[in-house]
Amino acid sequence: MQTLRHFVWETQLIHALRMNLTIVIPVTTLIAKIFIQIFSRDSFEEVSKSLANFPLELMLIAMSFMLSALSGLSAAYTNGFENQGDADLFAVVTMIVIFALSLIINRMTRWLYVLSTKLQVAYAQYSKLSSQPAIPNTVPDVAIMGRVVWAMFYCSMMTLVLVCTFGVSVLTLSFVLHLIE
Amino acid sequence: MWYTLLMSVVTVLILTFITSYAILRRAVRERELRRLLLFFVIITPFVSAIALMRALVRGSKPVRYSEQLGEIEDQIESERAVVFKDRPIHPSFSYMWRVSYLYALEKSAASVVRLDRRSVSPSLCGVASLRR
Repeated sequence: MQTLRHFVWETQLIHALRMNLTIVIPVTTLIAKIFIQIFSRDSFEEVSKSLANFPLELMLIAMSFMLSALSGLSAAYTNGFENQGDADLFAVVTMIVIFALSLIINRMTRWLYVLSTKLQVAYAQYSKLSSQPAIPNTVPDVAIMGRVVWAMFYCSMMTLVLVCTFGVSVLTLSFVLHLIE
Repeated sequence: MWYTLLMSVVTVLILTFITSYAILRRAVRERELRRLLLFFVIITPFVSAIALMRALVRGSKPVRYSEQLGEIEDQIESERAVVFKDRPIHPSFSYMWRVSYLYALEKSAASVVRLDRRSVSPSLCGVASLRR
């Protein structure tokens, strides 16, 4: 009886994972990537740098799924078309679109790098200025608060860039999964 | 369809928060400031969505340009270029902010002038009929 219950629980989990491949594939890949870098004793700087490239890696995963569809590994994909030629043509066009989107994501990743370095410099300047002794009963200098304001701005911009890049890559991946499922 | 879209949005938010946290942890050492910035990271997607909706319905208002904040941004950018051996970004954020604010001012001034001309036009205040 216990074995049967265990089997039911396992089946339900696998069913839930299959139903949510859009969330399972990116999150599992991300966790695996972080663990590989932790076990390889990479520095935290290298981990965070490589995380910025993750949207591009998701696009490459989507492209590899389309390659598998093109090679005929997914029967469900081919069944959606009238003939094999149409299926192959659609796979090639999709791959070209994924490539074009990857170029845009790569460009945006460069922006992410610029924003993160700006944030680093803003914080360095802020900590340098705030460590200097202040004259009592004076108005706080705008130079210190200005750095904090710009750090907030860089953070917001960074989040927006990340939402855009992850948005494009996750939507592309879910579209490809929808095609081959 | 809607379920897949919802799952995609959840995935995007999870990945964004994890990546932002990693970048913030590397860039900002002070815990209090990092918490404040993390709060900004969390609210930014929702606030941006609301701001976009409002801008589409009511139109956007320009943020007043501050000369001091502009200078601070220029200092940050010039130091970044030196520290990371990178080209300075052109146009910079401060330059774009100033130009967009001046453009918005010019636009609003032009609309005020247009409104003023229309309100004091001869046909409206009856000057045209008096001349006849």
